Amino acid sequence: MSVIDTATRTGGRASSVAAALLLPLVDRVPVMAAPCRMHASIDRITASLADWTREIGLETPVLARFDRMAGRAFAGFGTDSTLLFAKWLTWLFHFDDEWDEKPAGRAAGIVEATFSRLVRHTAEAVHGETQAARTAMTASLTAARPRPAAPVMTRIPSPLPVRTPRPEGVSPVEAAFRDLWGATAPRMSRRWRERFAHGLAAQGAACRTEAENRCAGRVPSITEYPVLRRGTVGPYLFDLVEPCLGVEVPAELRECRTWRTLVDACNDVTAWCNDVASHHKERANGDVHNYVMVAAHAFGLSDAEAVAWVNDRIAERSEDLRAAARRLPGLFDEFGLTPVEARNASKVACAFLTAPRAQLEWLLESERYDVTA
Amino acid sequence: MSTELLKSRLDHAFGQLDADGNGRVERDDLLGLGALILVGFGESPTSAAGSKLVDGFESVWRALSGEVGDGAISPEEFRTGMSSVLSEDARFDAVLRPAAEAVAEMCDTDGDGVVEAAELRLLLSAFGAPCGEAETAFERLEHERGVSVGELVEATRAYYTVPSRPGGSL
Repeated sequence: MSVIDTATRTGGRASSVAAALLLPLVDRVPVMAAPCRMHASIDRITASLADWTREIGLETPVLARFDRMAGRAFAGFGTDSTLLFAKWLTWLFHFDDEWDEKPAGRAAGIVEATFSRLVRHTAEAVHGETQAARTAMTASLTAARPRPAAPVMTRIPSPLPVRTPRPEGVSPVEAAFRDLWGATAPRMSRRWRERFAHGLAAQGAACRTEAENRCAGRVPSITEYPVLRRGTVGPYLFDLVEPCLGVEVPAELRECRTWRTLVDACNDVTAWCNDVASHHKERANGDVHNYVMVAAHAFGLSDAEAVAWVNDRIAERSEDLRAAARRLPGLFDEFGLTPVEARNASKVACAFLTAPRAQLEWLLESERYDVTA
Repeated sequence: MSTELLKSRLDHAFGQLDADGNGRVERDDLLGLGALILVGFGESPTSAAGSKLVDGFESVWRALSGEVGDGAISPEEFRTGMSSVLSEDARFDAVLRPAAEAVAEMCDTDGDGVVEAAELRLLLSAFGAPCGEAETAFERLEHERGVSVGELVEATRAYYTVPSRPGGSL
């Protein structure tokens, strides 16, 4: 399940209570201790997001509140930055919907087809440097090729012509992706675009693994689950902070171990929080891809014990996040960042440090986790 | 303090804030400085200490930008605004003290009320102050094994007002 999602599209009894199981973390995790600020222009962001989803054809539940999620994570930043991130969150929500909780979720073939088309778009929509990205993606997709897919049970999007804004037959999800990619990619370097495409491919591979697990009735092991979970979130979600803020972290910093820890820890903390909040619903749906259920299965724990175990992991991982942040000023010096670069990188890191609390408030607020939603 | 010395110190502070050197201090500059300090201490706008810092910086920005009104501050406007805030006790307490205290408390990472040299070095580095004066301050602090949070706040103000007071070289 995605970090923003989303297991609870149709609601699940007691799932709003499950989000409250995260509340003890407020006293344990320093970066979750204080309330998020809300963006000063949240009303304008809400209205603009609603206009965009209507124009592009994405039917987003009013109560999904991705505007408010972005408004918290980007509270101090510009309105355009926040709106762009809110659009990406909305897109990701619908993108997950291509297979989560649907028969398609068992169809590895659909997962592959969908990701292949988006990856192809990232490679072909931006002029220049096309071949490198395409080659990288082809290699990645080929390497992760799943075993023969389960029978296709639901919609298979038709192959798309390239560089046509909205050709007939393009789904709203794909049209939205093209729109967002066009607003995002041109301002970023070739390396960033390749990183995004690799993240997309990694998500595709993780989603295929989940689809195969579902087919086989297999529960991931406690050691393989965190890596799988990081993939299903969509690692590029964290890469999107840079273009949304209008900055790009220098490659040597972004690729160093500390920065990767910062990003992965943010991914893990927010994803695991989502798992705690959605585990009742996923259990009801028979989906085992949830850290609470994986822990319960691995250690023979009760539901409450497994939640406590996952909360402990969240608290630990939050410390990794803080420790990585503290190492950054030394790396700014080591890599010779200019004052502007150091501040820009700090803004990106600050968004990662804000995300756990923003995620918590969103989970508590989102009525999609309510039994009546 | 001579008018010239004060002007030079405020201009230096302006230069540190205006990281991109465009001659204007914008909200984004303060946001970036705040982020740099938060990150260095492993804090966040959503941690107890970080939240105080963000609120403090926000009130400084509102006070300074409110006086100029166009969303960006020139060096002259910065000098005028800061001089006014620094010279009047009530305004210092309302505008600058919360931010200075938030920064000083963040420096006191073990919560013992004392800011140690390593913590202060990180702070001064965030403010872009590897200048001779800051080095002198390091040496003295290392020698004295730290200053209290209150002293650090007073030292900040003293630096921009009366150089003969303790901590004036900060």
